[in-house]
Amino acid sequence: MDTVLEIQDVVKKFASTLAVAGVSCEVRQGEIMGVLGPNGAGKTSLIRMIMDINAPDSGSISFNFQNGNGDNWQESIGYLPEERGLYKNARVKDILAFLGGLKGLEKKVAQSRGREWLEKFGLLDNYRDKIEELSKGMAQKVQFATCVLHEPELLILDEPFSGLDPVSQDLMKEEIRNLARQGTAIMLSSHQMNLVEEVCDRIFLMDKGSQVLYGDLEDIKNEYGNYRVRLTTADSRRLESFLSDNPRIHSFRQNKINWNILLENEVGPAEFIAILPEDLSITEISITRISLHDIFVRVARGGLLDAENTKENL
Amino acid sequence: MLKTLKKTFKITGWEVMRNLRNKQFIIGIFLTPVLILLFGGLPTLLDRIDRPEERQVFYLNETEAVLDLDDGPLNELVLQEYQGSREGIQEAASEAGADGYFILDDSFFEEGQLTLYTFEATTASFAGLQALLNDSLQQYRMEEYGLEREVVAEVTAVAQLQVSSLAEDEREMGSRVITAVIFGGGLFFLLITSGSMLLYSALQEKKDKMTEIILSSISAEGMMAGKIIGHFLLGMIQIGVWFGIGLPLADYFFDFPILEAFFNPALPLFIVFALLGYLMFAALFVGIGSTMEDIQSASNSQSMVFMLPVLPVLIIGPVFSNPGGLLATLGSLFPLTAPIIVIVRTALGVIPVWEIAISAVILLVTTVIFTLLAARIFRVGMLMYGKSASFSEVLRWLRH
Repeated sequence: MDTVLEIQDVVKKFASTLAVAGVSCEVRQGEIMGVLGPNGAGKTSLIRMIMDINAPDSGSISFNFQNGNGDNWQESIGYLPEERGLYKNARVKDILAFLGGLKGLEKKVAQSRGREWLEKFGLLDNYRDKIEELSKGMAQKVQFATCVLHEPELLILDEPFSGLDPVSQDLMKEEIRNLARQGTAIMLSSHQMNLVEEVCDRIFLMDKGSQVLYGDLEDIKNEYGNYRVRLTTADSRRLESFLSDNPRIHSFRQNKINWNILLENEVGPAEFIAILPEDLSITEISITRISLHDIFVRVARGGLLDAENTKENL
Repeated sequence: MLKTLKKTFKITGWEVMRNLRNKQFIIGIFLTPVLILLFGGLPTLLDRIDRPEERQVFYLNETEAVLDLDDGPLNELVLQEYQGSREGIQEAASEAGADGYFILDDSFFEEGQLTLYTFEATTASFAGLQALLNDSLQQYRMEEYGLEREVVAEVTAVAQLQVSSLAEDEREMGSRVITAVIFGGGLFFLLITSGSMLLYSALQEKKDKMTEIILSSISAEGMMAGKIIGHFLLGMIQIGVWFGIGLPLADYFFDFPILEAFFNPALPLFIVFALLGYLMFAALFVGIGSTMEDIQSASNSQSMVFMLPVLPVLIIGPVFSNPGGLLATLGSLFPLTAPIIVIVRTALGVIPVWEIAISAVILLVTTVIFTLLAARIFRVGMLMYGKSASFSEVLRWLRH
C-alpha cells in the first residue's frame, strides 16, 4: 500500500508544555490508522499540524496524493475536527454547497453527493432543514458528509464517535470501513479505545506527546495482549493453592466465588485449561484477551498489568 | 494563488448571502433610516398630531389701551372681550364654557401685574398671552417716556454679518460641505456597522465551532480576508440603500447640490482613504473579535477598541471650524482619525497635497501592519474555546 501521509520527528511546544515530542508515523492508502491516547495525549495537536492549522516547531509532515501536493493539497483531505459544529441558522443544502465549494466542488456536484450521503444516513428528508432543526447526532452525520463529499484521498477523523448513540456509532464505523475499502487512507483519533480497536488496522498509541506503541493492531495484541480468565468456583481454597506461586499466572483477584486471573504473556487459553487441576469444580469460565485500553495502561503507565486495576468495559 | 483567491471569495460570498438571507439584516437596512427619520421628525410629528385644544379666555378691559390680538402668537388661545360689569364676568365666562378670565385695569400698567383666573387647575402655557400683555405694557411705558414704538424698534435692531467669498459662490461652498458630510459620514457609518458585524461574525464562527472546518480548506489569512471583504460589501449594500433612498429625497426637499457631491473630482481619493480606513479597522475588529469568547466577556481594553472609530467624531467640530489648523493636521496624520479627517478636509478644499501624501503612506503602512498582526491573532484566537484571551496571551501569540 502506498504511503499517503508521512510524519517525521514532529515536535510542538505551547509555552512551557511539550504537546508533541518528536513523533513519527505514516498512514497508507486503504487503511484505517488509529491515533489513540487519553485526553491531553497530543492527538489533536498532531492533527492540527497535519492540517497546517498549527505549524510544527521541528520535523516534517508530507503528503503523497495522486491528485498532486501543490496549492490544492487541502482538497485531497477530509477533516472532521474534535471541536465541531455547523452554522446553526444555515440550511443543510447550503452548508453542503459551501463546504464542498471550499474543497473545489461545483455547487451541483457538492449537493448531489451530499444527498447521496444523507440518504446513507437516512437524512434525505432533512436536506432543506436548518441545522438548528436537527438533533445533535443528525448534525454530526451531516458534518461527516461534508468532510467526505469531495472524495478525499486522506480522511482525518478526530473523535468521530463522540456524541453518537450506539446505533449511529455502528453506522459510522461501517461507513468508515467502506471508505477504507474504496482506497481512502483514514487517520482516526479517539480516546475511546474499545471503539477504535474494532475498526483500525494499525494503531499509533500516544501519551504525554510521545509514542507509546505503533504498529499492526493484531501484532500489538499478540505482543502485549495477555489473556484474562474469569472463573467461578465454590472450591476457592483449591484454586488459590493452584494459582499461588504458579509461573504461568501473572496475578489474580478474588471476590467471593468469582476469580479474575491474568495469565502471563506467553500463556494461551489452551495451555491454561490444560494445567487446571482436574478435580477443580468450575461453575463458569471465560477467557478473553485484555483490551487495548489495558495494553495502553500496561505500557504507558509503566510496569506490568495488575488484574486488580483493570477496567473491563472501557 | 488563483485557487486561494477563489476560496477567499467563496467565504466572501457565503458571508454576504448568509446575511442577505437573514431577516434581521434586511429589516435593519430599512429600519435604520426609518428610525433616524422617526426620531428626527418625531417631535414635530407628535406636535402636529397632538395639537393642544383651543382655549377660551374672557377679559374685561377697563383701560383705554387696545389689545392688539393680531400681533403676537396667541396659539390656541382665543381672547373674548366681555362688555359687562366686573361682577358679571366670572359667571359669563363660566356659562360660555371658557377656561378662565382676567380683568385689565389701570393697576396692570402701574404695577405690571395681572391675575388670570382659571376654572380648573392647568399646566397649559399662556406664553402667547403674556407676550401680548408685555407688548401692551411696553407700549404704554414708551408713551409715558414720550418714545415712539418705531424709534425703539430701530434702536434695538440686531446687527447682521453676511460672509461672502470672493473665490467661489455660496452654492459651491455648500456643495463642498455636503460632500464632506456625505463621504465622511458614510465612512463613519460603514466603520461602525460593518465593524460590529465583523465582530459578531467572528464570535458566531467560534460559537458555531466552524473555524477548524473552514481552516481545513483555506488559510487563516484567506478566511479573514474573505470575511473582511464580505462585510465591506454588506456595509456598502447597507449604505447604498440608505443613500439610494435618502439622497434623492434630500435633494428634492433641500436646496443643496447633494447629487453633485458624487461627481467631485476628488472621488478617487475618497475611495482610497475609505478603503484603507475600512481595512485598517476591519483588521483591528476581526483580530480583537477572535480573542473574545462572547460579547459579554469582552474586557475593558477589548471594548475600547470598538470605540476607536468614534475618535474622528471628537475632533470633527474643530476641524470644520478651522480646517487648516493644527488639530486638523494632526488628525490627518494620525492613522485612526486620518480616513475621515482627510476626506472631510479634502472635500472642504483646505488640505495641502503633501499632507494627503504623508497621510496616505502612514495609513497604508498602519493598515498592512494591523492586517499582519490581526492574521496572527486570528489564527490562534479563532481556535481558542471556552474563554477570552488575556492581553498577555495575545502578546505571546504575536511574538510566536
